[in-house]
Amino acid sequence: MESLPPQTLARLCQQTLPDDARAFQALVRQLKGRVYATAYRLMGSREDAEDQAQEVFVKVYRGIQDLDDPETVTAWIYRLTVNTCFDALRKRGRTPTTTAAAPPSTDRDEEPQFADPNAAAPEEIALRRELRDCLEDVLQRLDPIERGVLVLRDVEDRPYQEIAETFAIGLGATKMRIHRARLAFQQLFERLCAELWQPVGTRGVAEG
Amino acid sequence: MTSSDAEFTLTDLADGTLAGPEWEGWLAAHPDLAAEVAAARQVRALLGELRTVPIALPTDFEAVLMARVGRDATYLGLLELWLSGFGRALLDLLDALFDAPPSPAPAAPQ
Repeated sequence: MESLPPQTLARLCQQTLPDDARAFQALVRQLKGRVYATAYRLMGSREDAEDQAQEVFVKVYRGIQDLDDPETVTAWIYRLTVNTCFDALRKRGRTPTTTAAAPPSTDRDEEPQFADPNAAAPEEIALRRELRDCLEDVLQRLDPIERGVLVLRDVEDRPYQEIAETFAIGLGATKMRIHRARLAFQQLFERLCAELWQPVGTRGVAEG
Repeated sequence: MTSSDAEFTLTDLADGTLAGPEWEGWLAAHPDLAAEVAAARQVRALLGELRTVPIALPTDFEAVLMARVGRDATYLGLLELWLSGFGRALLDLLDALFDAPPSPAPAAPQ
């Protein structure tokens, strides 16, 4: 069942919940990684990400019967993730947590555990680790909307239209926000992680 | 082109949804905007790095969730049961109030 696409699982959920939760469980298995990663990047800590990811799937469980079009289940779950995390941030009146003085990767407990399946040279692993730490740190310093559009577009590779619907804004406004968020990210990254930012064409961290 | 038009065109150019020699020419004629597009492309490529990183969830994530939704289902079931009981009682009450046979008229004084 786990190899079925999310849309099919959503349809099965609509037919079988609440008596049989197997389709729901398969849907969770497929999407929990993406939901958790998105929540982690929006919330900034592993513990908060876990709480909000749990909330998201409880909402999925309660709401999937009312989902009009199961084809949109993935977009719907991303939207629930963003809205749930933003609600949590609003309730706490929280701003991004990192401090300018803190090096990005000193507190391992506040970060998810990364598993790198491809063996690589230690220097390369260290460089990639440093790059990821910097990227995560800079993301946390953006305002929540900038962070949200960048996480959806550039990390999760979601389509513009879906992002527009998530933030309840037009397509043009969405693209404008994405562009501004990228420029804000670039300025911060260049300032905080100068040694990793290379102008285009001079080195290949960004190119692979 | 207004500045907001330019901004979403720049997003399309950075993401490759607008491409071709005419756009390359346009960028060449606007070096400041070309620099923005280059920076945006680089940010997109950098953030794409994060997509490839598998993130390990807490091992009990799914078990905790399924226990939670299991409780949820139980509560919903109980609520449904309670509501159906309550609904029946309410209907009985309404019946009693509105469908009750009219009270007998008081007997006329003799």
